[in-house]
Amino acid sequence: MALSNVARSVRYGLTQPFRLHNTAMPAELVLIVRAMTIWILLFNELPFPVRVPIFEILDALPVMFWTYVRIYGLRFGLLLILFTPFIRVGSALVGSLFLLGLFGCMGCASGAHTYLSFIFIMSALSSHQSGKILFKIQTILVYFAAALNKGTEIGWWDGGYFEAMMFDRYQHPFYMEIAKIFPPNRLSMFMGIFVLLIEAMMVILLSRRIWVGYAMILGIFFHTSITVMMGITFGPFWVQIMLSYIAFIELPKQIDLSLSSKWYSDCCRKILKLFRAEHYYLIVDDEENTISISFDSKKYTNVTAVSFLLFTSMPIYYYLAIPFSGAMYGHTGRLIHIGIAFILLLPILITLIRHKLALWQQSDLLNRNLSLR
Amino acid sequence: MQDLPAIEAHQSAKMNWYNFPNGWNIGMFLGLIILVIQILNVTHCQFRATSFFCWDPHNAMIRYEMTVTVAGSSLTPHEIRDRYGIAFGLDTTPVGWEHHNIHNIFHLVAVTESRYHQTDPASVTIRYSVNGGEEQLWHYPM
Repeated sequence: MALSNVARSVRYGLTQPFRLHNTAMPAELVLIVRAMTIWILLFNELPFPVRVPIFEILDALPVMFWTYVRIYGLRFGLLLILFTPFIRVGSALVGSLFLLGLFGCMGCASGAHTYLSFIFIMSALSSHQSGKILFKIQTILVYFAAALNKGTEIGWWDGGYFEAMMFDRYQHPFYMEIAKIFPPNRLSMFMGIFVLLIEAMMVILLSRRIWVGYAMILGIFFHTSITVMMGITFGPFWVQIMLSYIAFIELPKQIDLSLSSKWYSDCCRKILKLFRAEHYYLIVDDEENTISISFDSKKYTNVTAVSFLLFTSMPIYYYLAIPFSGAMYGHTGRLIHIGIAFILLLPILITLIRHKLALWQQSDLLNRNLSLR
Repeated sequence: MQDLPAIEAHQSAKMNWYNFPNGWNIGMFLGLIILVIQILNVTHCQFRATSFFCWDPHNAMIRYEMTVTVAGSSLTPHEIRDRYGIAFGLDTTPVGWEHHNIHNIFHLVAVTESRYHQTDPASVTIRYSVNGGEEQLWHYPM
């Protein structure tokens, strides 16, 4: 009896990473936090060591203590997130350690790492009761403050920032060639104001639920094009901002899946079993000729349906992480990284666009009917 | 009717020291406090020289060159990086790039010297240029 309990607990722990709906945190935040955990493990990211802390009191931390805590405490937190339902405790631990590292190292100021720590802290403080509001406000605040700070910096208005970055710092050949087409400084001035406007627009678009789809498209385009153009991901920033958008959508708690044929149904059952997407319900319907899923009183079909299904299945992130884990350094590795993550986010975008189109068509039809009357 | 006491018992069980009525809980309170602190800090950043935790990534592109002399001998880039705990840049050359605010570097140098190096003080000169603009100088001790 005791042995079977142990076996059940082990099985429960081992299948934990593939679940989204059985923790004290909203499913979307579970997905974000676990995907970030994988990123931290793959890149062996550690909190900064204490060195000239912002708060002098941190100097009292014994060096050896902090060295061990930042390595083993972090790993313990990551294991809690991945293999136990105590995901909030793990997130609080991981976020606090990264934040402590930032407080403890004045020369390590990094917006990307600050956001990394707040992703975990805000997720830890969120519950089913409070929802994802804290996480959402945090993301909007990042864009708002970035736009405010850039807006008050003259270099973003007169093109000085882009000139210094593209010509002096990175000597970007493509940008330098394009800049020759325009009058001096004009392209940099345009780019600076363009970035400012996008960040300000992100604040507005993310604040309204009906505009979130547009915010995601704009955000993905904006951050991914910077990453591809510059060839750098700004540490964990690109991955975490992409994942943060998931907090602004609602993942399905349950999907009814209708399948056209025996072959389809067997195939999909196998995929779902492989990805342990246990929260999906399979319904075999021989009368229908397409694969379709019903979610949120809407119906999605074919590629969108399957993509949606896979996107909302946690294990896809684990399986996809394996092939690129060995080749993540260097330019090619980064491009693979970007490509995979983009593909992961694509289904949800397609779904949102289709949904928006359907809404638009509906309202268009309604308007026509009204005008006919 | 029989179910009512059970529902009330369930609701009262959910209200404890970390769960409050109307959907509020201790996590929500802590989160809001953290957000308010951040907003106040971002506002304060507009009126002070340094910009730690201000959410100002890539605010300015600042090229700086550090020269540090201790007891008459100049430090190598690696020694400078080690002395001040600068995480990014200054690997092989004394030239670094700061993406936030040059005052963060000034503050770092001043704090490091006053806190840890009172017995072996350094003379620091930083030559810097903000967004490719005119080159400026900063000295420590000022």
